[in-house]
Amino acid sequence: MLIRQVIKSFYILMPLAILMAFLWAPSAEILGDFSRIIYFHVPLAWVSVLAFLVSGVLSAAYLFDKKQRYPWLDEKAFNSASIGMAFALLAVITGSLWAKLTWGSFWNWDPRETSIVVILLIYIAYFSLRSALAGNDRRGVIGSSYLILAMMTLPFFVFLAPRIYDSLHPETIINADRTPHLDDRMRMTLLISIFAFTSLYAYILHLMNRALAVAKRLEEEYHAAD
Amino acid sequence: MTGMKKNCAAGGYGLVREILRNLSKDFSVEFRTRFALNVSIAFAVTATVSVSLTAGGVPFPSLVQSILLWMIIFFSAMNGLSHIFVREEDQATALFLRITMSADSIFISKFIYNQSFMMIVLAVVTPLFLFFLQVKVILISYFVLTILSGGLSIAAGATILAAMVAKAGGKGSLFSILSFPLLLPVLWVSIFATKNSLDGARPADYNSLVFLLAFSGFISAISFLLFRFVWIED
Amino acid sequence: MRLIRTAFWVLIMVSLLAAALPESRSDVLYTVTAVILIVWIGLAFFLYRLDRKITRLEKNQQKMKQ
Repeated sequence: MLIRQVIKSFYILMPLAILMAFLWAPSAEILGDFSRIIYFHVPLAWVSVLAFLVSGVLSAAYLFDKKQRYPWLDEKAFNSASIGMAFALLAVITGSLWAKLTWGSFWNWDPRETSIVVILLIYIAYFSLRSALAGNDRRGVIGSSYLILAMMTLPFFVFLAPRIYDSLHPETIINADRTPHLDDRMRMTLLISIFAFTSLYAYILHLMNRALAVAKRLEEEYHAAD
Repeated sequence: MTGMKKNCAAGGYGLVREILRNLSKDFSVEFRTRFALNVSIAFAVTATVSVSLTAGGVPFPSLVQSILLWMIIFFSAMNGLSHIFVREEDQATALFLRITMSADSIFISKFIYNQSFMMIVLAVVTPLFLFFLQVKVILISYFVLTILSGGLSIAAGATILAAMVAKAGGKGSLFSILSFPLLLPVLWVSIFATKNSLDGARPADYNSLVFLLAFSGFISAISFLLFRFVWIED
Repeated sequence: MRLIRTAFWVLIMVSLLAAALPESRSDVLYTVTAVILIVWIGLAFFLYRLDRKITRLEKNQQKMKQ
């Protein structure tokens, strides 16, 4: 149960990250105070990828867990995917704001932008598939296999995207020499912020899974009473 | 699961025989009505003619032409490729098929059927498009190879999605929503390769063709492994 | 109780940070920080309430089973 307490650290880490991002970290040379969006954009993007991976792993586990030793894995994968969708949308919004400030346009099909759009499209397809299968007892299996199939094709994008479009994505174009050298205080702030967002994601997933378990047990009792 | 056991007892030869039996049944049932094929081709004709009509005989730049060609191919394929599985669920023959045939042989036969369906659609759509939109192809062999391998990849990815959509009751545009993120790399590569073949920019190596073939092989293997989860009900 | 402890931690953090502020900031930054902190505290409070509710439901279910 130690992990549950660790997850809750975001209650403290999040305000700390906000304070550090705005007041403690120094502003970057070229972008000035606009660069502070990095402390929110990078963790959001990281969490959306993490949530995507977690939902894929849970789906694969669901398919191979024939005896259902771990209950409701497909619903848990769905929960992770829905959190991931929200975080990915926020990452897209903060990213395009940042792109407007640095490259001059909200959207220009950079490889990173392309890959996040593909992830969003996969999520949308997955959610529509699951809603089309509502009430069907094959819902978990089919949704999980679609998610796995879609994730398997992602390496092709990783291979393809940089060959078609050049990347402008800064491994952080925020300093004069265009190399990702971050100040120690900036790095520290980014790290704290990533931890805060990751534990926030874990906490929300944990809450959703607990609510799911309560609802499922209630359903079982209801059916048992019949 | 019983189907798989039966397969092992019969050996490799039994599997081939099952596939052939399945295929001949699929072809005779599908081509009796030709419903799916008619819808696909009618869609392709309507789209091509309406684009040509609104363009008023002015030729487009080569990039626009290749984008249009692949959009028409993609959506006309999406209109027909799911029918092979949706029909089984509609006519309530899926249960019977599930009992009598092994999942592997069903997947392989439906896969082959979808590939040949795709080839027929391509054979109708591409000449029609070239005719109506005044496209001048410079590298003909490269163009034909691109079209063929792009169609191969689309049909390869779409087969297992068709099985999933059939379980969801074949609801309208769900099939194209599911296929799009999976087939986006295929469309991407095919569009650029087609543009090159229209421009006459001969590639030094046939990277895009290799990519398309690798993609279709990869996705067929994955869907072959996943199909038994989707198909077998316990 | 836990809420009070969290608030206490935040207070300590704020005072530490205020002591360690490296250079002078513009007023806008302070305003932005304050607004975002208020929004965050609202969200955290909401999450905290949700957690309490789910815990209560779980306890009820345990009791029903016995």
